Amino acid sequence: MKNKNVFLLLIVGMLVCFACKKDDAVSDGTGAVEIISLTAIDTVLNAWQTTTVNAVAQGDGLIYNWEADHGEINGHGEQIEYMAGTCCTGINTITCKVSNSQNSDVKQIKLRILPF
Amino acid sequence: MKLKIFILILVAVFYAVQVNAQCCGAGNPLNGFGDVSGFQYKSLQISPQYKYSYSDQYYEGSKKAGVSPDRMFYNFISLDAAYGISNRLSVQGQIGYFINKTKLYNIEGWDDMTGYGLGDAEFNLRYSLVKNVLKKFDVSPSIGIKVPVGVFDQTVNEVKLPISLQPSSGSLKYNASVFVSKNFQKYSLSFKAFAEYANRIASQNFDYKYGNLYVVSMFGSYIITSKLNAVLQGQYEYRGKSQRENSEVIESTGGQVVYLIPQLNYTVFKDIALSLNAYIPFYRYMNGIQIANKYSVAFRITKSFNFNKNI
Repeated sequence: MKNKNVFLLLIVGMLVCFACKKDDAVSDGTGAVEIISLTAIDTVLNAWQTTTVNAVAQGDGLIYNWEADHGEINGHGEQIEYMAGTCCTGINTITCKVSNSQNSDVKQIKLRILPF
Repeated sequence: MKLKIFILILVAVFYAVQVNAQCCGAGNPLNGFGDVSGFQYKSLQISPQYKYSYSDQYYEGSKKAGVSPDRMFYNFISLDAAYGISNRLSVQGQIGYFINKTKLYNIEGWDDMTGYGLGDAEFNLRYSLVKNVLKKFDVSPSIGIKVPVGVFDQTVNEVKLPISLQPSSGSLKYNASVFVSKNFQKYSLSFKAFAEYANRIASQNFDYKYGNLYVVSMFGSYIITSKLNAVLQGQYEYRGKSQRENSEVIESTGGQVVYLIPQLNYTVFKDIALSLNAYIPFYRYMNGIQIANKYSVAFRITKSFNFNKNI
């Protein structure tokens, strides 16, 4: 009888532990954020030539924010297209900030824009 | 008396507005309505305005360039106000709002982008240095400041818009001008010289300075009827090249443009007038390769108030 009670207690205890375990399949947008890489197909472009820039990041519930100090960005999310006209020749910086509700990470990539 | 009121309104509809004439940069655009020497003591004018502009031509020097990566247009509204502090000193202000500022790309897969919102606010002080009532001759210098009250880092879908689509210029600007006018019975001749200096924009991820702007305008107005008058303005504009970080000059910025600006003014009631103008580029010389304005049109309503009980 005593052994049976202990066994039942163990079963209940295990069930309680499993119920409390975090379900990794459900994302709540928290936790660490890290940009693994930020790359462009071409880093040297002529004016009005486009290139694809891709951010690889890890974390839950990620939001990708993009900005360029010169030139233009089209698209959104993990991958965008970039272009700069003749007004923006030189070395331009694209900044990608990846964030969730709690954390964020920022990376930059520089592209050289040559005259048309 | 009616003629006096008409002349007052005629003078009023030409009050100073900014002459920020970039086609496709950030900040309030030029609307091209003519200029006046000043206001009567305790007279107030309120003018809501609307402007539409379209650009689809790229120029290299004075010739059309063989490129067409995009087109641009905007719808802009502003509220202007002017008040005569004394018979010689007046204060003028403007605040602008972009209903939309849109770029249409001729690149496969690229979506159109639109910015919108509050632009810049401008304040000017004008003084009638020479005010010869008998000879109807005025000389009025003016100084002013343009404040970037609107957004300069607008984002859409978590992507920051390019500078050309930002509603505000992001730069504090100073201007000075002088206006000279000579009135005759049925017509008047005026001259204006204007200069604007822009402060450098130095933020965390952006370092930029617009080139200085110089504008010279000559215009003549003619009274067609007691309610209708016409103005023709010729305007030469020179903009210096912009600079980016480390004071690096951006070659494909700045240039020279000559505009023809025809305008009609109609007095609806003794204190309400309507004005319509068109901005027609007559000659362009663009540094490097740049998009240039094709045309723009503007409409304005002016309502005058006179709080001076002596008139």
